[in-house]
Amino acid sequence: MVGGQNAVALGLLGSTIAVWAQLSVLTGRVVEAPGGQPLAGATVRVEGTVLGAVTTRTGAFTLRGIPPGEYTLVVSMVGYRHFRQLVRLRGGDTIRLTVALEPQPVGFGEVVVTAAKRAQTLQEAPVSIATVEARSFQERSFTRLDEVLRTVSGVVINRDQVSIRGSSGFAFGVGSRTLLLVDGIPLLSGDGGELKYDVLPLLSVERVEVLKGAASALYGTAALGGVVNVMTAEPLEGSTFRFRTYGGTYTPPRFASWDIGPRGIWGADFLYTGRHGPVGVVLSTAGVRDEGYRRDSDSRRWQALAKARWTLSAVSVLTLLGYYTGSESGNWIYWKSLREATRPGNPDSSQRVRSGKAVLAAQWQQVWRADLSSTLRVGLYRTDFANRHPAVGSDTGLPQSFAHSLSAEWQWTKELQPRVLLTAGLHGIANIVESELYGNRRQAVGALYGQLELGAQRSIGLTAGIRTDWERTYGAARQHIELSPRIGLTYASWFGPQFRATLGRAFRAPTVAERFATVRAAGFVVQPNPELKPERAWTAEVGVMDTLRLSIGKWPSLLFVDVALFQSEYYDLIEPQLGDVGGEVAVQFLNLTRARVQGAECVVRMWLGPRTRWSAGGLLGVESGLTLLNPRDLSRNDWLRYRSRRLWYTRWTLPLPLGEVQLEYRYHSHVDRIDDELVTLGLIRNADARVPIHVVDVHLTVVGARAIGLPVTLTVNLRNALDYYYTEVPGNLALPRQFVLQLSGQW
Amino acid sequence: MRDGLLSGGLLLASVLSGCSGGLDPTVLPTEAIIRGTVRFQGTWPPVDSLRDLRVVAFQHYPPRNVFNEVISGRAIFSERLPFRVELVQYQLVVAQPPVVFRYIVVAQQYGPDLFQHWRVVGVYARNATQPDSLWVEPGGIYPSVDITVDFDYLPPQPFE
Repeated sequence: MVGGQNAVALGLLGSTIAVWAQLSVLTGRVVEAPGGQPLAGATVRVEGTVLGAVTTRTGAFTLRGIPPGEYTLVVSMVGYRHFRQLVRLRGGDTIRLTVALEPQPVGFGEVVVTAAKRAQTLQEAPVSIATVEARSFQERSFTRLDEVLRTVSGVVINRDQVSIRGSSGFAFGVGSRTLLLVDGIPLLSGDGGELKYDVLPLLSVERVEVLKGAASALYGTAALGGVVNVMTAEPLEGSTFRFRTYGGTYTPPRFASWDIGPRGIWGADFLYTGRHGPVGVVLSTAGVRDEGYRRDSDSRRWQALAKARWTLSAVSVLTLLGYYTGSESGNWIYWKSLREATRPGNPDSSQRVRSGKAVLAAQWQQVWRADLSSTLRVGLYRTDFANRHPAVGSDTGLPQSFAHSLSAEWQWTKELQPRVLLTAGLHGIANIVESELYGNRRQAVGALYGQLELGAQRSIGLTAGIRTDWERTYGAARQHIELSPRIGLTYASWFGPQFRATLGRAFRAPTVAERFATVRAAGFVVQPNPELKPERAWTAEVGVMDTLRLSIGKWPSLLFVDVALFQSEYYDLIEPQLGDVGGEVAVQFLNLTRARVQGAECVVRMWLGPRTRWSAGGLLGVESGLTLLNPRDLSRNDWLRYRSRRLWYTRWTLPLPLGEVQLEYRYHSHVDRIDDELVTLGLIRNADARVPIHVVDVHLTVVGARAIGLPVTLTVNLRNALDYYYTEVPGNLALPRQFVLQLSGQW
Repeated sequence: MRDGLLSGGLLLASVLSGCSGGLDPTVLPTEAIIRGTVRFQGTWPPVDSLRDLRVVAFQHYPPRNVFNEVISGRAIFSERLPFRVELVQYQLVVAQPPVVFRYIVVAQQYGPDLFQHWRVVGVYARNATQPDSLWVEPGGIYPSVDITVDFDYLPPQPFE
């Protein structure tokens, strides 16, 4: 019997070897044209298969296991024109290619995946999408996602809340109106629906996409204001090792009453990536110690990530992903007063908060036929926290919470006819919460969605989609069914500009925390409200983008312009309200607000001056985004709380022979309105101390390969260089001037 | 090129020149402090009618109720006072003096309605015939705003 099994096994092995013997290999390099400089980080993929690679530092790539046939090879990289080439493979070929990409330094060439749950060019997307590439944040000693998102036009970080185009105010992070995805898997905590900025090491992140506007038609709950989609690094051919280490300090404050002594920040990240046969791996770890510029706001954090991508065949790939973040921090919530802005005002600030975030995820992509493919994504996200007394290390009687969020989605993409794509899927989310604050709760969401795209890659494209979500929370007053349609149109005009328009509905189901929170801490009382219903929004947007050819002085320049006009109508917005709850002053989450946010956004990118030996773009790169908002609370006929009406972000890049200097400036106009009760009831002293935000960051990068011939980079980061003091939320002094030196490298 | 640089630089410089240094604790209105002792006499009310007890300073007399006056910024109140003690020290921080408080009391919440179920149980009145006003100046410290509460003989009630 054993011999029989062996015979079968040998037979299978023989047939596998025979099949592999017929498979071909595509290998080669991607270089810049002209010049032939190798391009690292370019994406190479074979259309109609799951085969793909990212080029190494030398621009090399290898794609193995390609069956005989005719394929389109697509090479793309931000800042360069797409490259497409038809390749015919017989069995057992090894074909070597050198692909030369033409620079297109502003705007075009970007491939995004968030708008349609598939790769498409930015111009094909009917919504506004911003992308942030890894290089722009990994060299700046950023350690958390919120630091990255602050560099995106139209995005405001109100401590734990991400507000895209005025969608959110401030609610201590509970009930995010921005959905966070990591590799397409939703990551909002099962209890508070919170978006955790430190969920994974940033060195393992390849790119961040921010979709602006309602996106529930594809993503369901929480995609009310938009979606942040984080893409982790893909394994590279061979073995690559990267690191960065940094250390710095907060400069002493100008006011003696704020001085709490010298405080610093330091940390290190490591990343290994390699591909060995059909299996590619990414391993990353990070640690950071931040002493904090405010007493009891210090933190320690350690992170790890492992990703394995196993190419089962030319049409099937399995990706396994796991990551963990553990942290311990002080329990800073708000200041004592503006005079003592670096000293805590909440009496329990000396408690220590331990928290953990763990994710296990799997993704299986299968190309069934040339016109049919599917992706199965499963993810389990666990979050926990516990407060402890610092002296005894006990958590008796202090708040603690555990939450699990399980997401499973099976997405199918079918090309019904040439240029007609159908994307459809099933999605389920189960949240399981065990908490002293929220009780033991269960929440379930089941969804079915479909989106039809007509005219993909043509001059006119039409997108129409709808998703239906059923939500039930056990213990809540009722269950809910939400329908989220969306329609979008793109038009690539013959005279140049690319037009887009979209109209969509979105919703956010109340979180377990909003429905069931029972808290008595830090001077606040929070009472439950099981009657809460989902908040809803309709968002409309029209936009246009174009690349204009200018002649500034004697040098031709390209100017990328993207202009959008948008309006969002919000219904039943859930907001924390301070008032009489059962005879005591307490916060309760209520469906309170009917709101409207109208606005306009203009993003420009350009290079000025001639190309140089050290800069393919030009002498000076400029990126700038201006967002104008009219955020109205229609229920009170007043401004929406915690919204600025004018946002401006600009970044200037000055390439140098040995590196570059970047100067960034961020402006938010004065917030018109906050929670008045914080002031009148004296809950937070000087809660209304707020000013317009002006933040200047300066980064100086020295590229070791040019200076000393070593693959290292030295970066000097001066954040809030003017030491401008401001608050983003009441009672919280934002980051003062910080000086950080970083050394990074890659082998 | 040079023009573009110049105009961009000028724009940034003009914005930054208008932003000063941001928040400044030295230009805050100087706070004032009201301190005092509350002495309790008589028979304490039963537990179910003793929900809250605070010192409340009203700018207007007579006030309509406690909570609305505080919410609307016309009154301030202390931390909750302890129950069933003989005396307690309290402190009120006046964030934006100068201001006149015409009616300073100890108020008791006796029922579940946060807006309606309050009664005055003690009044700051040095001659015991009518409420005393207190002029609060920036930086002032008023250490002897003492109030006696006699649960057996409650003062006239201002709330309708």
